[in-house]
Amino acid sequence: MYLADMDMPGMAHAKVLRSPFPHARIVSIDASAARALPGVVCVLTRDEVLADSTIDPYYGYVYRDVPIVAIDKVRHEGDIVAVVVAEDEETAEDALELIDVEYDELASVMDIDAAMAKGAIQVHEVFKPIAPELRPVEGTNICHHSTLAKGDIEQGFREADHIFEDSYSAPAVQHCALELHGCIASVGDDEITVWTNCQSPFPLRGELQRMFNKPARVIVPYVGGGFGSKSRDRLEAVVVAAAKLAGRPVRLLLTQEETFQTFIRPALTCTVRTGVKSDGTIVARHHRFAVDVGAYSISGARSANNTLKVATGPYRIPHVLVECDAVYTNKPPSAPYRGLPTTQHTMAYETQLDRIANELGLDPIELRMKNLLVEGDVHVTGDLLRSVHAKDCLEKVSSSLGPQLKGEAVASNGTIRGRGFSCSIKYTITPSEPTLATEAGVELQEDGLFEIRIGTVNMGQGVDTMAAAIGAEAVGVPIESVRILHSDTALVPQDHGTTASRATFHTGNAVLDAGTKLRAELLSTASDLLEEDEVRLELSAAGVAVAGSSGRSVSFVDIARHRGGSLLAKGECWVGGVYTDESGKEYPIASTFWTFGSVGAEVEVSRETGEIRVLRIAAAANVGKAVNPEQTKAQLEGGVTFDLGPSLFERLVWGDGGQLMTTTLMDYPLPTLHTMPEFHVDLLEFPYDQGPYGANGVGEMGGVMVPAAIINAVYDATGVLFHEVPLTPETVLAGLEATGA
Amino acid sequence: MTRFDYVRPSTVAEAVGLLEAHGDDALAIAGGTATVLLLQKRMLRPELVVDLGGLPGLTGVEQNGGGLRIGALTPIRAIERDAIVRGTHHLLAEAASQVAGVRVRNAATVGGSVCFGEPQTDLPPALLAMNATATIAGSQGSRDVPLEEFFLGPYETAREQGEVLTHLSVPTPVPGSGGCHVKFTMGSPENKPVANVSALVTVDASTRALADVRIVMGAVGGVPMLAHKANDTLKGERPSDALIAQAAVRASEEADPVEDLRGSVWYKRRIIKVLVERALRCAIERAN
Amino acid sequence: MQLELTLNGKTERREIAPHHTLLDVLRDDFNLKGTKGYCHSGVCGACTVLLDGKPISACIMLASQTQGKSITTVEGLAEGENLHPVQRAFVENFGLQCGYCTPGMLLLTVALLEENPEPSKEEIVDYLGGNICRCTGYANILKSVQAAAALVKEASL
Repeated sequence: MYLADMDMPGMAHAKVLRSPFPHARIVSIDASAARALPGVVCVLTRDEVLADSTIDPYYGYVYRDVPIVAIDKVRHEGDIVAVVVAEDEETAEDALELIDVEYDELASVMDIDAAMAKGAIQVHEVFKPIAPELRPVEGTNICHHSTLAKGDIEQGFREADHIFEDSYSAPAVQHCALELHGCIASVGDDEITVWTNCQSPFPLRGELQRMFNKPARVIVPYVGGGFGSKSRDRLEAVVVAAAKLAGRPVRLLLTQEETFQTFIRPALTCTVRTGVKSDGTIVARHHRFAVDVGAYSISGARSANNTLKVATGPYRIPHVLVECDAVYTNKPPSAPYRGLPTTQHTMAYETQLDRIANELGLDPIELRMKNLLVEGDVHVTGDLLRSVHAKDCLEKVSSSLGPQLKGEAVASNGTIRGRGFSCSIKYTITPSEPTLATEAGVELQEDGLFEIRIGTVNMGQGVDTMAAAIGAEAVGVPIESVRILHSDTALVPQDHGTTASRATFHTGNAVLDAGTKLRAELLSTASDLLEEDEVRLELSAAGVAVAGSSGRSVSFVDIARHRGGSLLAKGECWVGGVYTDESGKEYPIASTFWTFGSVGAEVEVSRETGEIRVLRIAAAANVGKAVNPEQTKAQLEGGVTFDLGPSLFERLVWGDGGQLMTTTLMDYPLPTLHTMPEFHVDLLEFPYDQGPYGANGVGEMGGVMVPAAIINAVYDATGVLFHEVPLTPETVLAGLEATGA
Repeated sequence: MTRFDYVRPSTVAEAVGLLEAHGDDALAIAGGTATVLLLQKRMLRPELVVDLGGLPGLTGVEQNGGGLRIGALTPIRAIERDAIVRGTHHLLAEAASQVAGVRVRNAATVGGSVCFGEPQTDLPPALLAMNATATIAGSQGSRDVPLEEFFLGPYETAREQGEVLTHLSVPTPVPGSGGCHVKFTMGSPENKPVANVSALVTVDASTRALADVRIVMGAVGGVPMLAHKANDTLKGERPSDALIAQAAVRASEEADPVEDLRGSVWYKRRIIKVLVERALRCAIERAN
Repeated sequence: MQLELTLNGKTERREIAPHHTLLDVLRDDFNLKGTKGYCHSGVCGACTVLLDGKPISACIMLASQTQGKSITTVEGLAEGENLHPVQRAFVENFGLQCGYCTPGMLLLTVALLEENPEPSKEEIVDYLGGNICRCTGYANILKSVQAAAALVKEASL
């Protein structure tokens, strides 16, 4: 059951009045006619929010910059101005038309360059950073500036025989998770209860408790896809405030158009300057990038900051400087997006690498092999890398696909084929201090079955199967004996969120810990009951038996009864801190795990229309251990097709007035069965010493290398290297004509 | 969603009477695939929706004199699969098979597709290439409008508010004719086309010259457009690669595209050129 | 208005608002939540149902338009505990992840196999091509449809 399928007794329905302007001061709001409409329960505007002294009107985990409803001004088209609560959705929709808002339009900044220009109008006049790592630049739209350095970048460029510099851009896109964002809230005297399809229920609970000064419970039903758009939410506080005012449960479901105004993948620009020796050894890399976080930095600045550590790729480079700017604009707030912005970094450094190979007369695969990180290398972050095998991944995709083609003509109409490759490295969100990131519980219940309790959100990525497999294996019972309880903050232990490929590693480790502890408890209890030494006992589906043919055993039902009805073990996953190697040397942990992989693409390019057909995609990743190989492969395939959209045709377009033009799927095409390439997916299983049974996170690995591989394949086919996505037919044809290719 | 009253008349006369009586406050729908979307978004706000879906005798294809009589309520998918259409009016079946996806084609009707007047769809260019005529019933009786005069502008047709399109008459191409419909979309073929082209040619059996050519371009103007200059370039001539290329260039110059999310004016002209070449080659091959 | 139709094989009558879509009426008036909505513009296919056996988008059809007709939703596929062969094929071949597109994919597959019991890969792509799945990458959906064709054929022998 998804959120939209739920109903609550006495539930009212909300609709949101949204700003038609990208940037405007609100002069006045008159909602009296809306309130007078029969069937309307209440209207929430800035007046009601400000009048309630128990509410903090601003929220945000990174910057406290998001108002529940617009207070002084609106900062993007679609910004929330008022909320109507009515007996049914239609009446609420009718009432929206009766609210009279007077706006004083302001100049707007719709892209990174405009927002960073000298004297640009500020989206936020005051910065309100919460997270300690944030470095806003006062008086500008730059809400975060940061750098990562290793070695001496100037020295590196002096050592180089050749220096290459390229600039790249990728526009905003939307996640298009098919289940629409929504929320039901109920505010009682003592507690707030929220049902929402949010990927991070525990952080959300904390924020709601702070804002409304009341205990909160967050329940996440089954989620119909998130891809990052549901990782930090915009709606819950709005609906809680509306429900508080209404005095009854309130539901808000967005439309697809509204989701496009709520969370988007931000646009990104970057410039990559690379110094290489004549033999192809990379000696210096200066990577500057700017991320358009939109009107509110709900997660944008932190996502940008996190990718400093992977911006230079899976390569061994002695001299590195990475610079990041996160920039406010008058676009909708940005959200994480399946690998963002690792995808864009990969696109930049991997396509530049093919240019370097071409201009130095080197083979692109050999050039990569020469520079790829290996086990025992120290990454730019200072981390000691243990399970890498990036070269094995590249070898795998290269053998699946075969070598490059160099513009092989396949038909008389001027269709040409090419192949391109890319490699990447992905991190997971990791605190610097040792932190208890995820807990889990495994409980033997009175019916003799095992309940696994996790805070991870199930949104189709296979977390239930993963947790069940690990839990059953750890306890030593068949998978049929376990069931999963997840994502109700009142019933399951805490978790930092289902994001950044973290579920298998974090939740898996916590379940493994709990399951191992429970197994010990079961054996010790059985040992008492059977009066046998533990080493002679064996677990089965039914209970614990004495090894051999004696037939003596005790059932799980009896063990549970003996232990007072049930038996619970709690498990933990700690992250952060330092890693100490065998010699006692300490290394920082910038990422709890690093995932390496490769993608190869074979494309067909039409010289007539510029159309690209992606014929084959080979993908390989070092997954450590595939807990469920079929599901892991499906995650990689899904990630690949997902990123074919932004590679080939997806982009959000705003008109001159700052209004979104691509509002529906009729103007915003998505990948379909027609887009699907032939897949060659390989899972490499080189165990990671810290992972559950050696497993790594892999949820975002499929897509991050796709744009780079496609651009390189088009380069191989046509000799034209594109510096942007999407490679729409028009972009490609214009590029071919401009270069005479 | 717009709130409205709903009525499902059971005769054409009743439908005409309702539409006439309610004027601009009434909206006629057939399959509803385009209009219900606009009602949901409150972009159309009629007081009364007149559902023509129950009108008898307006569904199906029959042979009638020198051509086909196609009921306005015939689903597009039925046109695509109809054995008669596929035989004698292959161009029409081919265009029908390219309208959106199978779900839309099952609900959307031929009449609805024509009356909606959307420039980016596939049936109107094919019907125009085949020289179809629309029969429209009104309170004063029926009138026939050649499709060349039917499309007046984007979402604007010769059908008046108090009228109902009852059927389309599509002449059977003379022997030696061949037709072809091609389109170009960004992403999947279900998407709205950047441009589309329907071509119907007749090759003289003895001279191998093109006795007649009707190239129609879609999505590159407010209405589907006959490419007159391209047609004139080809008529009476024996087709060659050079001549086809010349006609395609002429067609791309005649096209009147506007820049939108599907492409710039430059790109749409380029696509028209490619599509006209493809459609002509295919139609000529089929004619032979 | 009074709507009478055959819904998953049974005659049903309900008083409905004449301006509501078939999607809304199925979900809200008949409480059949299996039919999903996303784009509400007939593109994504999440709301696919069968109208007189043929797949249509329930989001761009008024419920009023289905007067006297027959509708099959995903709830009409399984017989009690026994999954429809097409459902079995999707489960066995990992043809779903988050499951939101699945009802539409299932009904489209049922209709395809009814029309064309042995579809080629191209015919499957053509028929299901309009329905959007964001999770699977489609490879396992294609595999599921091919497996479903075999299962349906087996069941009819």
